[in-house]
Amino acid sequence: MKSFPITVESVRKAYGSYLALDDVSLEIEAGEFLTLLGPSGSGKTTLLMAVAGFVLLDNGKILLGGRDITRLPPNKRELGIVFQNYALFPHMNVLANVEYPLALRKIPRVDARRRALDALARVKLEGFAQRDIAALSGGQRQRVALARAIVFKPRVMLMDEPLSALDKNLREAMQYEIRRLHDDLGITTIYVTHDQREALTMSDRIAVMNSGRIEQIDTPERVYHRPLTRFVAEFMGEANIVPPGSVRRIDGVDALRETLMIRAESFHLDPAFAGPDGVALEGVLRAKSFRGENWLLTLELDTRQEVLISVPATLAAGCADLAPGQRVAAFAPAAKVHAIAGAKV
Amino acid sequence: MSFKLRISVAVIAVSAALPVYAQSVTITTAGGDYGKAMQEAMWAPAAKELGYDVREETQSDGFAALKMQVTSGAVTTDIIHLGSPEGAQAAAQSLLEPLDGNIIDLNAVPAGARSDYCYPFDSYGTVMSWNTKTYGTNPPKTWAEFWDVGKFPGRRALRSNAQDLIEIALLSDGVAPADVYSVLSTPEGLQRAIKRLEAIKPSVAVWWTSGAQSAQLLKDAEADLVVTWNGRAQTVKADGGMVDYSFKGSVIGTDCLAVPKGAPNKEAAMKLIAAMTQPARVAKLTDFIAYGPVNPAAYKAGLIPDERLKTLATAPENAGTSVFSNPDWWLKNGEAAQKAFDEMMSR
Amino acid sequence: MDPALAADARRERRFFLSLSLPALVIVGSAAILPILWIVRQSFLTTAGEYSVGNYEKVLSSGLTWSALLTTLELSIGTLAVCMLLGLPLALALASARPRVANLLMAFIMLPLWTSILVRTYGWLVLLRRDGLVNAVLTGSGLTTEPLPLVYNFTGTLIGMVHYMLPLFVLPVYAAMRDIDPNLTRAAASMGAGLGLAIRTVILPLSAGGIVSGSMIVFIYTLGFFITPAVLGGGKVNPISIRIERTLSTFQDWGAASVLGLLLLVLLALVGVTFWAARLLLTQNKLGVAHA
Repeated sequence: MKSFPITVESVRKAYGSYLALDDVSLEIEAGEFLTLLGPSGSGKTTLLMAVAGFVLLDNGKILLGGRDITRLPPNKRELGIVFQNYALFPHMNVLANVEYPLALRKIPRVDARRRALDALARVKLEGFAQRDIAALSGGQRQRVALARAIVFKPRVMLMDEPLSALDKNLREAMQYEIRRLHDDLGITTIYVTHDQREALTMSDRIAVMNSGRIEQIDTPERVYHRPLTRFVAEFMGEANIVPPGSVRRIDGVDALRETLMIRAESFHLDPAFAGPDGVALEGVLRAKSFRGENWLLTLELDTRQEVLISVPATLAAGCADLAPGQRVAAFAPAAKVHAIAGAKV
Repeated sequence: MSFKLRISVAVIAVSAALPVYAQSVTITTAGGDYGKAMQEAMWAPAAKELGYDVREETQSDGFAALKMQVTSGAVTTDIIHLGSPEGAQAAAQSLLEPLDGNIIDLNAVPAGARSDYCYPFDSYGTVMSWNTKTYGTNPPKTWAEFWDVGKFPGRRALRSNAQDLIEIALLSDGVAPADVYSVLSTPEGLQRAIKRLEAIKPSVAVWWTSGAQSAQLLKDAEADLVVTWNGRAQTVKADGGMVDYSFKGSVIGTDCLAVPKGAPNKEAAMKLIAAMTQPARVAKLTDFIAYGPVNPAAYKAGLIPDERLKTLATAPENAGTSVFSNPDWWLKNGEAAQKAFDEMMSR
Repeated sequence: MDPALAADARRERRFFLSLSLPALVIVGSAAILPILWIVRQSFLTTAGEYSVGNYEKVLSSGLTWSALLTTLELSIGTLAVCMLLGLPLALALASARPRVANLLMAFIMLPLWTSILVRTYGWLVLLRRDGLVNAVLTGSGLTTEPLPLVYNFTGTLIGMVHYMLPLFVLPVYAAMRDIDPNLTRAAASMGAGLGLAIRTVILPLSAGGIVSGSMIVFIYTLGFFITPAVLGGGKVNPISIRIERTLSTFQDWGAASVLGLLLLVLLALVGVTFWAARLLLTQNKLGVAHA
């Protein structure tokens, strides 16, 4: 399948005084899997619907394969969309749903039938063609929606929180399948989710959105370990934001002057793991809990700020003996310590 | 109980019982302006004279009400106001008590109008009326001209009922007023009338169903030529409408009063009918509505002002070219005539 | 089930049945008895004997069948115009924002609170030769002669559509409002323009509401009397007017009863047809497979 790049240029959309998209720009490469990640109200769905053509922009441009599609109606954009609630046609059976876009394109019946069955096979729904939509489970409906979106060879796939209605196990299986489908077809995909784990698992790149703006757009690793803003840092997982002066280098006594982000799982109790250029901090143990694969410790720094430390069970030999009220030192390697520009504590 | 108290109780009892002895009579009229006129001119003064307590009920369809009451055996009205053809029909269906000739002077009305069951008291003409703005001083003068859509273009409005129209259709076809019913009584007579109506049908803008509607059509100039009742045309004209009408060739019908079979106060009803149809009272009716008395005595002794006589269908000077509607013919042929009319309408 | 429990259940059912007894009695006496009376009446001659004469007379008369034809013409015509106007209206309502939709709905419902007589005469005033509509048409030079808008089939249809439109729109709007807006978006994303999306998604999914609305229109209009009587100018004579005439001019209660029963049978036929159509639709057996 031929893939197309997408360019979003300074798009703006306001609903009354509420700014849903605030000067958003974005480059998506042909064949890339890009996730728009953010809490609800961050503008991620609005951006997706703008690309789909359902949201009329106040300002800015959207280019698809170099062509300006800003004013093109949705039905002329040739985009495959998977909606949050699947949006399958309840008055048609599985096959009719999948054949629908082909029928609109006046593809001969025999041809359409073959392609629809192919698409259903691709999403592992052989034998379901004649089922009613009402007789399908959530996961099966999801697959029909996928089949219907890819069957007409769209230029781009747009997915709006497609897995949010599924239970955890099914969700993980579908994440894998969607990604595999993307890799097989090589189709440019924009995927919207509020689940950071899903975003990390599936994406080539993640655009983290907040209040109508993109806070950071980067690979999953960089977004996770090198967040540019406190919002990104906190949204991506259990992040400790440590104020200037609380952390010192192990090799020297200088306290670090920047605001730092250190993830809970980056800490160790043994300085050896942090290395000579690592950092150290000290505080009073306030709470500890055993979680099977790790121990979770809460340290209160001298600045009264609490820091969360996650120690893998295999390396936590001494943890069981630690008592609340005790002073504890924790160490993190330099590579896991990340200064956040402009972040306020 | 003291003697004094006993007397006062007796006095109260007597005074309370007295109104019960006043004869009460119920009359059913069509209501509206017409019903009001009948009350003011006819039954209210008659009731006062007889010392009766008269209650009025109004029914837009007197015949249906009569039939309902008599067939269900729950007769509540003593006197009912009907059109004469309905009166004849009601009599034929045994819905009426025969009128008592000793109380009511059945021969006071002209022989052609005489009835043993429903006493005719006033008359109306089905007349030709026109919009004076459309026709100026040159309106159609005969029914033949009314039918002449080439010479008198314009929208016609006729009643959606065979009654009177059958007679008018024959008049328009050159039948003399005196011969209308003899022609109608031949097998092809009715067909001739229906054919004539069918000929004018394309020019009929409205087939009206109530007198009020025909007056409205005249007033609004919705139709230029309207066959209507003289009372209606006169009202529109008097209200300043651009309307005039003519009694020439009118079909005269009468309304009558009857006593339903099994009426609770039969004898009192007869007495009230006799009293309310005295010449002076039916003459007085014309103060309120342009329906002329049937009793010739009412036209004598200057009971009705001269200029009003012109507006009454049965006034001596208007009666020459008219046809008296024949209740007997309608009783025998009404259903067939109406059926033929309806079939013409549905073609 | 435990026999004791079953007995309890029976007692309960009997208890609830007895609760509805007053309602059954009222329905029975208010609806069924008069119909039985009409049935009896239909077999009575004017002389008071039982015979099938009334049926022979009514069913062999061309007037009956032409009245029946007019009735159907009016009902079908009203339904057609209601669909033509009501479907786009319901569509616009369903796609409007809720506040706007509620406001518009109130305006659409407003005529329902006015007496049908007032509304019918209102149309008479608007549509007659000197009426507002013709004054505007001739005044603006659109027509040279006043158009015959009333005292005919057209005028009757206008009056009936005005009465029925809200009753048609209501169930259709309700059905359309319940359609997931993402379905139309999905159709659009796959290439369906507005017309195709309406035809392949919205109409099939609101078919239940459309059938309900159509049934309401049909059943109401079969018995319409005032509107054809006032606006038809004597030229539009459906069964209802035939019944009235049979009663008032011929005083023929037997024949009128037969006509009334004929109307009742017609109503039942229409009711069953629409009910069957609805059933088929809700069982999704008429699915539109291909666009």
